[in-house]
Order: sequence, then C-alpha cells, then structure tokens
Amino acid sequence: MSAAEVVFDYFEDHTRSADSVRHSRPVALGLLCFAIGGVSVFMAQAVLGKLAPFSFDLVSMVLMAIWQIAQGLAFTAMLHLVMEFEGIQGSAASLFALMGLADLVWALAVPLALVLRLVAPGSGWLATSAFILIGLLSLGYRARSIQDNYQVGAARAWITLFVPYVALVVAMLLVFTVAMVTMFKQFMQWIS
Amino acid sequence: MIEQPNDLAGPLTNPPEHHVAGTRRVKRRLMLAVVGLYVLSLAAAAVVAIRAPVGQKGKKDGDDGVLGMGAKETVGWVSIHGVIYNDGTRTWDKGAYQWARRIRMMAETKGVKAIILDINSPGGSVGAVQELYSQIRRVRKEFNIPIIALFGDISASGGYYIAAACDRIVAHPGTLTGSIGVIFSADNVEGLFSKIGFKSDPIKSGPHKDIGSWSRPMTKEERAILQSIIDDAYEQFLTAISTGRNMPMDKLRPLADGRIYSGAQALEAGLVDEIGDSDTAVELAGKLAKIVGKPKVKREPDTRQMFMDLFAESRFAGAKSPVEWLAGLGLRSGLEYRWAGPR
Repeated sequence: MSAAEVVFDYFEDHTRSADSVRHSRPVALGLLCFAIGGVSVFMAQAVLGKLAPFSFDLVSMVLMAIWQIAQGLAFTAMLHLVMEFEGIQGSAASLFALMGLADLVWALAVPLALVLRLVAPGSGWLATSAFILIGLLSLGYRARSIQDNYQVGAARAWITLFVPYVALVVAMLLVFTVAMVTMFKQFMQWIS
Repeated sequence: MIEQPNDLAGPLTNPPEHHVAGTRRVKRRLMLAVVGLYVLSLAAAAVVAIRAPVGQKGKKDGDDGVLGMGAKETVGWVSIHGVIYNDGTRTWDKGAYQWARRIRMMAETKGVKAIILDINSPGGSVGAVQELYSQIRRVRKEFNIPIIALFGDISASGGYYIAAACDRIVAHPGTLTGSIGVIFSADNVEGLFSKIGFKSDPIKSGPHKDIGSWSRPMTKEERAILQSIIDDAYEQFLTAISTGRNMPMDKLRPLADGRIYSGAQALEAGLVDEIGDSDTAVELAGKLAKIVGKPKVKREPDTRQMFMDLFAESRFAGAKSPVEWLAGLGLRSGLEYRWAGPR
C-alpha cells in the first residue's frame, strides 16, 4: 500500500490504515507528517501574525518542524512506555507513524487561517478558537491511533493519551515548587 | 430462498482485481488533489505573511492586506515610565534602546496610524534621552506617522526633552513638567571617609582624570570644565526643544531656568499644546492621522519584558544587599537631563 493510500485510509477507513501501518511501520511517513504539522502551525501563525517569539524565516520554520518531530517522538515514547507497563503489546514504530498521521490534521490550520484573515482580521479569540478546535480534533485522532495500535477501548485510549499531559503538568508544578522554595530560601538569606 | 448472485457477493468477500486497482487510482487522485490544495494554501500563506504581515515587518502605504480587508486603523500606545537610562541592550531590559525599539515596532504594526507616547518620567541620562529624542524624530519622518506625547504625573527635564520630538503634547492640568536644564551630581564624602579612616589616592595620567571624584573637594578649574560641559548640554536641550516645538530661542530661554511647571502653567507658557487626559490624546491622534470616527487604541505589551520584569521582581539570587541597593538609588553620577525632585 502506498503512502498516499495510508494517509487516505487513515481518515477514511482507519482500521484498514492501522493494519497497513502495523505491517509496514512507515516511520519516515510519520516523520514527514509531524514535519508537515509543524510547518502548518508555523504558517497559520504567520498568517495570523502570532509568530512571536519567532519571526517569519526559514530557520524558524525548520525549528518548528524539528520541535514538532521531537515532541512527537517524546510523546510516542511515553505512551508506549505506559502501554508496556500495563502489559499491552503493540509496536512503537507504528504508533509513531499513526501519531504523525494524527498531526496531519494541523494542515487544516493553514486554509483556516487564510479564511479567518479574510473574514475577521485581527480577531484573536476566533483564531484561538480555531486552533483549539484543530487541537481537539488532533487529540481525537491520537486517541483513535492508540485504540487501533494497541487494540484497546476508547476510554482506555483517552486515559492513556492524557498520561503524558498530566506528567508534564506534574513536572511543571514540581519545578515551580522547587523554584519557589529556592527563592524563599534566598530571600531569607537576603534579609538576614 | 433466493440465491445471491456472484457479482453482488463480491465486496463482502474478495473484490475483483480491476475494482481494487480502480479504488487505488481514485484514492491516489484524491490524495494528489488534497496535497495540491495544501501546497497552494501554503504558497498563499507565504505570500500573505511576506506581503502583509501583522505586526512583524514593515508595512507599505495603502497596503490594507488581502483584498483590502486588513487590520482597522488604530492608535498605538507606548508607555515610557521611569528614569531614562541606557542600562542594557537585551530585549527585555528597560531603557532608551528598548523604548525606541517599541516605538519603531508600533510604527511598523499594520493598521497603526498614530502613536501616543505615555510619558511619566523625571528624565534621565543625557545620552539615553538624546537617543530617544532622535529615534522618535526618525520614526516620525520614516513612517510619516504623527506621535503625540501624553504627560502623566511627571514629565520633567529629559521627559520633556523626548516629548519635544513629538508632534503635539497633551498634559494633565496638574502634571509636573519643565525643569529644562542639565545637572551633574557631584557628591563629596571626604568628611565621611576621614571619619572611617578611608583615604583615596588615585594614580592619574592627567590632573583632571578623576574629575568629579567624591573623595576630595572639586577645584575651581574642574568646576569650570564641568560647567562648560553643562552649558553645552543645556544649549543642546534648548536647540532640541526649539527645533522640535518650533519655538524661538528668545522665547524659550527665559522659561528654561530649570524650574518646574504645572500642566496649566506649561500650556500658558507654550510648553504644551493641550490640557486633557488620555481620551483627549487619542482623539488628537485620530485627528492628526485622519482616522474617521473614534480610533481604537492598540497597546502592545512586550511579553518578554513583562516576563523578565516578573522574574526580576522575584529574583533574589545575586541580589544586592540592602546597603548596596540604597546606595545605588542616589549615587548614579554623570550628566543628566533629570529633575532630582523630592525624594
């Protein structure tokens, strides 16, 4: 099955696409999809003038694509680890490819940003809503990818999907707490 | 029982070869069409981002965005609060360079047709004030954009100097302004040093190398040298106001003896153009920029600076001791367009 068919089936017939990905494990396709997702977000932000702190240049665009790939890799690794801990078998490579395919949804952001710029220029909340909507859609596809790759139910897939996010929030809270304690200690030293 | 014909059973079992090939062809064509559309939208996005950026790069006259549906005409708002120094060149530092950068960025922002400089400053170092003054004039000329100064509590000395670079000045009736002049703060702590047994003995390449030293009294010759510098900087101040406000020197000189004025007095003396508040300044800006109706105000916070401010306020690592901190408040030496004011 060609890459074009895999992509088509991912949105049209996901079980067939998941079967195909399980057999061929197209990691390169996953990488490409993550990069396309990153570039799409970058271009959409550029159209809406919300690129800060980046500027509209090639280096920033490449950085964004690399960031998307890196977060995709980290995210896949984390999800796979969680599944392994739970004793559920599945391929990490095919999960990566499926996650990349889920990120393709961000390609929608570019035409949407163009339309928003035409219809409601300068409307921050509309742009934010559009981005949130696409983000939620991407999350939905990610959950479905977990479901297809590990043959688990929807509820379990959604719970697993949120584990990395919860871990991130916990890690941030931990860092914040450590920073606050350190600052408090230095403040006490400063006034004494 | 009705027997199902073989051709209808097809899709439920194995589809015929020609059907699979046809489906593949359709899928590929559809995907090709989607990819084509995506590439087209990327190209369109690139053109839009390059041609008509929002708040990123320079704008062109009459360029109102895609199909003429660009951002609405607005009045930009830039605040200059505090003492004006050239303290740092990092983007999140507070200083003349950063304020100049923000004014320029605001002028470059699409839809911004006029700028209000909200000044609340007692002035600052000569170099920093002159940097801001010339940058404001440069932005006015380069972008052909009116800039209106709005005075807050205090806009004295260097604060007034930079306002002179603007098209108009709006002040509150009770604003403290004026203080046109130069000061070189020279402290002498020789008596204090002798009490604690501290003696300074600098090795100099010339007799005036430690001019302004606080560990010995100033000589008459040194005083004359400093006075000549102050007189020169004072003339530069007067020239800047005279040029900026189109005010004759003979009218300006009697006003510029260093005294402060209230906003109402400054209006009478011709040092400001209007008495009013922020709404007055916005209306005036709209009028000068020929904006139809009540203009909207665009305040663009510098997120990096806001973040660094937050960090700086809560940053105790490497902080100065209370004694160092207090000492730093009053002992910044150098030539200043600054109203010392009540401390």
